[in-house]
Amino acid sequence: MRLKAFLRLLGSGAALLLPAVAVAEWRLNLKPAATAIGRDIYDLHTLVMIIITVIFIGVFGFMFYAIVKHRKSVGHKAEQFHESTTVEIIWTVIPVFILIGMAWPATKALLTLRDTSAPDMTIKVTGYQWKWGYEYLDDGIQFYSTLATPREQIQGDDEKGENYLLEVDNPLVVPVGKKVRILTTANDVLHAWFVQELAVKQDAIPGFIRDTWFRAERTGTFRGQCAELCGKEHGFMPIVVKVVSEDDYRGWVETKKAGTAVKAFDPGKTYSVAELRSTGEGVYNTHCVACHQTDGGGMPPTFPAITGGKIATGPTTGHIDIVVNGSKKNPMMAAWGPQLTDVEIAAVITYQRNALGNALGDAVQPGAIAAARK
Amino acid sequence: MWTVAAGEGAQFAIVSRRNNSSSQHARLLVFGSLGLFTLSVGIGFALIGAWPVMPFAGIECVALFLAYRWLQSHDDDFELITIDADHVVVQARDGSKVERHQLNRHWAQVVTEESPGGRVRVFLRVHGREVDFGRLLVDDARLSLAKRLREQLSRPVDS
Amino acid sequence: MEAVHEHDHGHDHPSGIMRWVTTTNHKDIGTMYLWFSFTMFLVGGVMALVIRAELFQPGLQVVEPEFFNQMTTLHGLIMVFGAIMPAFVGFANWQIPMMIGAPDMAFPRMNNWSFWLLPPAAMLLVISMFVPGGSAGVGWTLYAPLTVQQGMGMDLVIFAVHILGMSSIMGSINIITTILNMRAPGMTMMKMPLFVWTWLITAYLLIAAMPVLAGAVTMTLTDRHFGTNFFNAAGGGDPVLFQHIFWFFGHPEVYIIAIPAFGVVSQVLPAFSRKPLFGYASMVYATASIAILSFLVWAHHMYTVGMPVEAQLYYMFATMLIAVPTGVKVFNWVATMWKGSLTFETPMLFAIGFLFLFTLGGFTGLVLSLTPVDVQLHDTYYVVAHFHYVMVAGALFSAFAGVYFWLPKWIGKMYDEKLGKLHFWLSIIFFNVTFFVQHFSGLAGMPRRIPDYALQFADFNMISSIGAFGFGLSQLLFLYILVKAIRSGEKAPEKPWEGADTLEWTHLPTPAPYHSFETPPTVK
Ligand SMILES: [Cu+2]
Repeated sequence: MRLKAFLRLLGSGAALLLPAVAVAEWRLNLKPAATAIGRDIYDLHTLVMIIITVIFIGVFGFMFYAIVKHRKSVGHKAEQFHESTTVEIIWTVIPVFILIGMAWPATKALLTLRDTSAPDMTIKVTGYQWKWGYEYLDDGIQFYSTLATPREQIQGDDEKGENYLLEVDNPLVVPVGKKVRILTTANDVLHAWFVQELAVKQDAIPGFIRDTWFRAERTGTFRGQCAELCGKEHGFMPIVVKVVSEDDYRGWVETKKAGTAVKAFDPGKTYSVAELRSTGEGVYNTHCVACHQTDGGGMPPTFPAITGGKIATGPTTGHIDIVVNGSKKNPMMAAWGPQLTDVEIAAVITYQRNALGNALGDAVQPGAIAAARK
Repeated sequence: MWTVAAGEGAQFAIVSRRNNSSSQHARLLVFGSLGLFTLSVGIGFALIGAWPVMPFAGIECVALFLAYRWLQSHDDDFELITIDADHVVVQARDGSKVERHQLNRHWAQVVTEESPGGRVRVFLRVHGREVDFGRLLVDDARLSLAKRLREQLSRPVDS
Repeated sequence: MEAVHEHDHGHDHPSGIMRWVTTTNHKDIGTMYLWFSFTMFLVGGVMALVIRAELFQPGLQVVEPEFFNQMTTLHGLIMVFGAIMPAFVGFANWQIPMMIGAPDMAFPRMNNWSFWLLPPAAMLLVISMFVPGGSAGVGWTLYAPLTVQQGMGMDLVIFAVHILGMSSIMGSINIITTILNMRAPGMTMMKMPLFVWTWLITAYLLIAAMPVLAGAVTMTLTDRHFGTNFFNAAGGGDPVLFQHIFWFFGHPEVYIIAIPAFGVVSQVLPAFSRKPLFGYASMVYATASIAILSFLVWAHHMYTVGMPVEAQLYYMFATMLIAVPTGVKVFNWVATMWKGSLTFETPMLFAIGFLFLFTLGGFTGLVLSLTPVDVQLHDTYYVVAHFHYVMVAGALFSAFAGVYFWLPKWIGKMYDEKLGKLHFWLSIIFFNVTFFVQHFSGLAGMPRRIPDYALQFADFNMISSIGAFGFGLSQLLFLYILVKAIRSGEKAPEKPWEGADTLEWTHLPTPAPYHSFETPPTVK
C-alpha cells in the first residue's frame, strides 16, 4: 500500500465535486477504423446494435406495458392463459431468421479478416515480459519496443502526459496502403497484440506462430495494448503503430538500418566502468526496472534485490550467467541472452555492480558476454 | 419383496415405504448417460494428450455407480409400526439393515421435537430409550403420524 | 419379549457449533450454504473494491500490479465458486425436498460433507494471499503458461479448486438422486416446479464438466512441479490446449450459474403475476437445449488464439444459436407477466431487474458471438461488462429474489418490505453505474485486468468505481435486512404470497412418499 499516493487519491476524490474535469472525450463507440475490414466490423457492430435495440424495445415495451397496466393496484384481474404452440413456434422461428441475417455479414467479414494471403510485407511480433519485439522479415530490421512513459508519471510523482501508458520508445512503422502480415509469437507467456483502429487482435503464443494482417488506409499513429494477461506489467506494454507514406517508410528503413550499424560494437575494445555504467543505466531502466525497481530493491521474494544482492555482488561469472541464461530456480527471471546485445548485457551488469547502492568497481566487458554465450 | 407379519393380536399397524419415483430404467438412463458422457469426454481429451482428465472421470463414474447401487439396495426400505395389547413394535429396513424394536405399550410415550433449523424429530420413549420413527416421511407427515400414534396409545386397551 | 435387533438409540442432541458440524438436515445445510455464500460474497466484494479503488484514477495508487492481479484472480474464483454456486446449492437444499415432497435429500450425510469441504477450500484461497510470492496472479481462467511462473500461492489455489470440485460433484449426485427417486406420488417430471428442473439440468452439467476442470488444474500442477509438458511449448506442449480444456468446463460453468437463476425467476414471476408460467414445457426444453449447446460452443472464448477459420465459423454459428432458446425463455417470462395481476414486492422487483438486465447481458453476448466483432472486443472491458450483467444482474439478482421470496418460509418471519425495496433500488442503480459504462471503456479498447490505464478511459473508470462502492455498501443493507428479519421480523402468515402455488407454500395434503394407514386383517 502506497500510503502517500493513496492519500493523494482520496484528496483528488474531492475533485469530483468540481464539474468538468474531464480530460478525455466521452467515446461511446468503437474508434473509427483505419482499415476497410475495421470499417466492416464497425458497420456490423452498428447493425447488430440496431437489431438488438429494436428487439429490446419491443420485448420490454410489452413488459413495461404490463407493469403499468396489468398491475393489481389498478384492479387488473389475472387471466389464466398459458401454453400456446403457435406463439412458441413464432418466437422460435423469427429469431432464427434474424440470426441468419446477422450471420451473413459476420461470415463475410470473418473470411476477409482471416485471409492473410499475398501480403506486401511481413513483420514478426514477439511478446516478451514486458515489451514487444518487432522483426521486419523483408527489410531485415529488428528492434524492441518498450513503454516510454516515465515511472514517475505512473507513481503519480509527475504530471501524466497526453499519451500516458500508450507511448513507446520505438514504434512500429509501416507504409500506408500496404497489406502488412503480422506473425505473432511469444517468448515467455501469452500476450496479445491489439490495435483497435487497425482491427487487429491476435494472441501471441509461446512456441507457436499465428498470423493476422491489416492494410492501413490513412497515415497516422495508432495505439494499442497487450490484451492477454501476461504478468504484473501486463498493463504496461503498449503498442504504437505509425502509418506513414511509402516514401517516409523507405526513409525510415534507411535510418533504422544505419542506426543499427552504428550501434554495432567493436569486440576488441575495452570499455571503462563509467562508459558501461551510463549505457547500462538505460538498459536497466528499459528492461529490468519493472521487477527490480528503480532503487534496485526489487520485490522479494519473487524479484530479488540487486542492491546488495547475492548474485549482483557475487562473482561476475554467476552474474553473467543469470542475465544471459535466466534463472533455473525462478521462472520469473528471463534469459536475456537472446534479447540483448553483448554490449547491452555487459553494460547493464556493470551498471548493476556499480550503481543502485553497489560499488564493486569491476567492469564486465562485452567480450566476456560473447564468451559466456558459447 | 418384503412382507411383514403384523403379529398376532395387532390392533393397529401402519407402514410407510419409499415412493421410488424413478424406475430402474430411468435410473440406468440417467446414471448411465452421465457416466458415458463423462468417460467419453475423458477419452476425448486423452486422445489429444490431456490424459489427466481420465482419472477424475473414472472417480466420478465410481461415485455415480455407488449412488446407483444405493438406490437399488434401498428400494425396499420400509417402516412398520404395530400396536397390540401390550407392545408397540417398530420395524424398519434401511438397505440391508433390518431393525426391530419392541416397546412396552403402557410406558411408551410419543415425543416430538422441533429444533431451530425447522427439523422435526419424532420418537417413542420408554425408560429413557428412544426409538425414532417416520424416517421416510416429510416433516408434516411425521407430525401427523405422531399424532395418530399418540391417539392410538392413549386409547384403552380393548379386548 | 425381546427386540430382535436390540439397539439402543442413544440420541444425543448436539448443540451449539457441533449441531452445525454434524447436521444432516437439508434445511440446516441449506442455511449453512447460504451464509457461507454470503460471507464469500462479501470477501470477494472487498476484493472487487480493491480493484475499483486502484482503477479510480489513472496511475498506481493503492496496490502494486502483482497484488492487483491476485485480486482479479481471487475475486473471480471466490465469486464463482464461493459465492454464486454455493448460494444456489443452498437454495437447492432448502427447496428441492420441499418442492417435490421428499423428507430430506437422498444422501444426508454426503450432503454434510459436500458443505464442509467448502470452508477449507475458501481458507486455502484466502491463505494463498499470505504465502511468499502471494496468491496466483493469473486471472480466474488460470491460463498456462503464466501459471508456471507463480509461487506456491498457485498450488494452494489449485488444491482449493480440487476441493471445490469434489464438493460440487457430491452435491450434484445428491441432487440428481433426490429429484429422480424421492418425488412424492403424483409429482411427475413434467409437474416438477421449474426450479427443480433447472437444478436437475444444472447437476447434469456439473457432473459432466467438473472432472475436466480437475484434470486441467492437475496438469497445471504437474507442469509446475513434476516436469510434465502438457502446456509448455518448449517441451512439446501447447498452451492453447489448456484454454480448450478450461473452457470445455468454463462455458458449461456459466450455465451452471445461470440455469438455477432461471429456475428461481421462473418461480417468482408467476407468483407475483398471479398467473401460471406461460410455457412450462417449452421452458423445460429451452433450458435443456441451452445445457446441451453449452458443451458445443466453448471456443467462442478463444476467437483470438488463431484457430482455423472453419472452426471460428462453427463456433460463431453454434454460439448464435444459443440466442434462440434464451429468447424463448425471455419471451416466456414476459408472456407470464402479460395480463397478470402484478404486485411488486421485493422478490418481484429483483426478478424483473433480473429479466431486464440479464437480457441486456444476453444481447451483448450476441454481439460478442460474432467473431469479427469479438476480435475487437475480446479481453476488453466490454467483456467484463457483459459477464457482470449475466453474473451479477443475472445470477445474483435472482438469488436476492429467491432469498426474499422464500425467507418467510425458511424462518417464519417477514423481512422489512420497505428496506427490501430500498435494497433493490440501490442495487440496480449502483449496478448500472458500475457496469454500464464499462461497455464504453471496452468499446474504446480498454483491456481487462490492467491496474492502470490511459487517460482516455479515466472518466468511465471513475464512474465505475463510484458505482462499485455504492453497490458494495448497499449489500450491507441486505445483511441488516436479514439480521433484522431473523431477530425481530414480524411473524409470517401461512401463505405470505398470494400467487405462490408450489408445494412448499400450499402444503397440499402433504404428499409423503407413500404413507399408508392400514388396519391389518388380524385385528380383532
Ligand atoms: Cu503482454
